[in-house]
Amino acid sequence: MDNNKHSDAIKHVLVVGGGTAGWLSACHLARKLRAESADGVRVTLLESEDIPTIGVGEGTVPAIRQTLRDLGISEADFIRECDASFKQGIKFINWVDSPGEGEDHYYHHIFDYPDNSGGDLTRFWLSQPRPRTSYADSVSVQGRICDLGLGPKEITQAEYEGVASYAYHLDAAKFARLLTRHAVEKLGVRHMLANVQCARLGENGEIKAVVTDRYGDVEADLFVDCTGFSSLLLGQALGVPFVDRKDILFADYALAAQVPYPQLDAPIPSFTIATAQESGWIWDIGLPRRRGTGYVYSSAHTDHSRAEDTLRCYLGSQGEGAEVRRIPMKVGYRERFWHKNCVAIGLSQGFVEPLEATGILVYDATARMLADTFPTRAAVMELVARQFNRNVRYAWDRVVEFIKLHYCISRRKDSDFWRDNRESDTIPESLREKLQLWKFQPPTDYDFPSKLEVFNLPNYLYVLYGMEFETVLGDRDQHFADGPARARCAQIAEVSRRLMTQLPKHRELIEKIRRYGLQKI
Amino acid sequence: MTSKQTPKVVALRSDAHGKLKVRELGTFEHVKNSHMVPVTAHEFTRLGAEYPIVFVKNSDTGQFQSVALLGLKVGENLFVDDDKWQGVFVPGSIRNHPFVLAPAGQDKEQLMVGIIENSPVVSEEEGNALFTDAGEESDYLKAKKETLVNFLESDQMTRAFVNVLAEKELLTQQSVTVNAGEEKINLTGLYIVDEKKLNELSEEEFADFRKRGFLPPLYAQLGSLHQLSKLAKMQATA
Repeated sequence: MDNNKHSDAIKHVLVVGGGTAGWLSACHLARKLRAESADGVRVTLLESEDIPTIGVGEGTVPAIRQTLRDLGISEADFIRECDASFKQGIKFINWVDSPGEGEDHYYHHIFDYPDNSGGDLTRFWLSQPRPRTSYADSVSVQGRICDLGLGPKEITQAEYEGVASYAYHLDAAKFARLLTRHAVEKLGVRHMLANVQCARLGENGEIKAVVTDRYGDVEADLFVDCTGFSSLLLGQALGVPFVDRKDILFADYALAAQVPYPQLDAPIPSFTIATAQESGWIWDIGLPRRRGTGYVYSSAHTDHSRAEDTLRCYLGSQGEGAEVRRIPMKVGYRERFWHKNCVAIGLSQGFVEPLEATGILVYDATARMLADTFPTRAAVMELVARQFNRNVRYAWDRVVEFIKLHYCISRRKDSDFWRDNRESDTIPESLREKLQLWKFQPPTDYDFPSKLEVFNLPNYLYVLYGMEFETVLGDRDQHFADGPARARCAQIAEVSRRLMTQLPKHRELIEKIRRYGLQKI
Repeated sequence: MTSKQTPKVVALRSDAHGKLKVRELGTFEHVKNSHMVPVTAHEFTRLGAEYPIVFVKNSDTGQFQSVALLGLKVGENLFVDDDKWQGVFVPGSIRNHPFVLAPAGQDKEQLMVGIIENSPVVSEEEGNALFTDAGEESDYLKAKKETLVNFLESDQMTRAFVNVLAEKELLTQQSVTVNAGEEKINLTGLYIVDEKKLNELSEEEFADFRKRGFLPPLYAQLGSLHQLSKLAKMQATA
């Protein structure tokens, strides 16, 4: 078929796969391309009734609020329908030293950025004698809010607004259902249920159609591959290779389990808990009626049976009778994310262990990028694809580096897993260089020059200094004027005290929102 | 500003309150520290001629409710002077004292008739008996209950009305600065009807509002804002 015979316009986008990534892509595209209008671009989502979604993936980051708002979803509806709770950050337990007889060590990587309005607080904190207040508690109020089991907002605040920055924990299956309904009823997305058997390619190697069991050939101008790890279109049909990053991040399996609370009204932690283990770490996400947990581990350092024992030991009596599901993880990303007229969003694009909730984060951001830079004509597609590939590759490399940071500055020596993680040939060179510099001066914005860093200065500061990384300030830095910084820290402590009396307990807040909703203003 | 609950409200029960008596309301002592009181939509027209009527968020539920402003400062009621009420019409929720609508159990949205147990007009010695010796409701209580039940119905219709306004995004936040003589007073947390959006309603929606009887309270609310100047004057000379 000669392409010149057809108009150059891109009229139909087919999203293949209906998990979180698929429906987020369909929603972003439909909204941006005005799918519900006759002169917009048609957006169809095709999914199988037989293939299950991955079934995990419950942590988000604050950017999701903007997405929900932009898509026109009410926060109260979202909280009710997706069994959501608030997430204010991640609590890392026992990442610094080998577990001993003393108390667990923990630090918070919170969402609120450090308050540097009165000058940089990091150097001031570094110059304080030990024992000193934790980094997070010196520069922000949110760590204390988390420790006290409080929510990030009051019931009288408008939707999507809070006293501190926040995101959510959610039920992935229910989230996909909410997005499905919203996409179809409000955004004009067409929904088809069928299995894709193969793809029909054109002369130039592009996808002309997917062949389905129920509808035969389904054609489109652009295909979005949201088929999960199998990457049916980009990986299999178009043969784009996978770049494995197990050389840097060792964890290649997850053992997932859902468990109940000891009592119905037990407090819900308003942060993800990530507890370091012998050969990996365990996630623990609290939804109102149950917890989602999982052990992320390296099969090169432990075996499946020992891994299950580790998880069950962590779960204790709550885990009795809990079904444990083993999920192999492909850690890495595709060599290209957009090839010809096929772009991958979701697990088909890339994946790393969920230590910093990067799954939904990257899929939401790249789906948005796809919608925002959507090629106006077929002739432009290759240029858009190249830009997309550059940006998404940059994003994944930064994600891999940031995750690695948590491992390579740990002091744990209780197993090969931890020692191997500090081998310099497993650490990306740019991270090694930055760490070398940071031994002598703290990170600055100049370490994160791109707009698309994914993780920026504040994120690195929370992890670096939460993990007690040693930055030895030179003589010159010891003598800077610390008056304003000291006053600011005192002020932060004061604001914390006030907020403690105002903010509701997390579970109470969720119950109220489920009952009374949230106002729009 | 958000609403605050009246102290010591309990649901009325013959077993617990069989011996209680209520004196006739002589003074307005009990509301001298109320800078606002809830009002029903049915009262907007009458009260709007004297008091600014606005919407505030309930501090427990975040939901909007309609109130009449009786003062510009928290805890100060400009309309109570010794025994006398300085206005013409007394808002219904005040006249009902010591009877109130109290939450029935845990669910704060279900209301029933309750009594402010620690009010000065409530005692076991003086006034109208609430229950007969046999534990039945007295005629006095029956009459009071009827008033309360009517008030409860109005209250429920008012909630529905306010919810419609909130859903249709017809409420807007209004920060108010009032010059009371030398003093500049800022009022925050107030919401009013967005007149512009009201005018932009479709023909259908507007006709629906008319049929449901929403128009008089809507315009009464808008008109009542002029009473803020009256409060300013009262504050300045207080």
